[in-house]
Amino acid sequence: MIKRANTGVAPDGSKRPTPPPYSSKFESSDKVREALQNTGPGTSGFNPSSTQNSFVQKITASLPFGYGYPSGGGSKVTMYSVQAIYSKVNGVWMLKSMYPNP
Amino acid sequence: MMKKLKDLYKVNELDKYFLGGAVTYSMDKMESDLRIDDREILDRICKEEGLYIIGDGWRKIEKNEATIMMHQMLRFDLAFLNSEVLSTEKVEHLISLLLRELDNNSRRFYTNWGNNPWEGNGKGGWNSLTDSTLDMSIAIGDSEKWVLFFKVGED
Repeated sequence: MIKRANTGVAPDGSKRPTPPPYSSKFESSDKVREALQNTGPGTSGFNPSSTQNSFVQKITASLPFGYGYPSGGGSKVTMYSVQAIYSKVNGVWMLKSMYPNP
Repeated sequence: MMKKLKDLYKVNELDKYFLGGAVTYSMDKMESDLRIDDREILDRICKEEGLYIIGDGWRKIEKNEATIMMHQMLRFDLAFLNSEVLSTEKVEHLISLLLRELDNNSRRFYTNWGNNPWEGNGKGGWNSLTDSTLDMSIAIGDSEKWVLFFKVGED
């Protein structure tokens, strides 16, 4: 995570020219499950229009979902929100990315 | 017949400021007289630029909404919506570079988003123009030219 924050290199080896503002991770698998259960199709906040093929949701909880490091260094940041991005593939909504967010 | 006038992204070295693209295209007079649908024109530009064609996914917006979205998409990161990545002064400068290609008349504004995520608690839907995790585009047309620019985001 610190390498990602400082260099922009992602866990899969891909690199973007500038690192994202944060490199973050979930605190536990339970927090991943909690985020999955509260985003996506069937949840109250998931309401894309029929013509859209991508949707982003942000949820916030009273307890942290995870933590991250700001790009270029800095102190660990506790993150209480999650951003989840879904895209429609062959008519089915699929999770594209999900990460703790400050 | 549409003609690419400039790759604004390359000419202005916008890769220093955001990941994405920016182009300007002209329409010939016959085409503008035929009143070809704006969305069809935008799809043609997308096809030329190797972007996905989204048809009705282009949402027509008012100038005021377009102005706000342009500022926010350049000022903030798409994956971390509250993180400022460019100062407002730099954003103003970039927008002036992009819009100087157009005259002040008959401007039409479109976006690939159904709403402004900065005004929807981070929630929103869009039609992807790229394979990136997130992308956002604003397209602006006058009577003869179009400017289309987009920004991509990854977590």
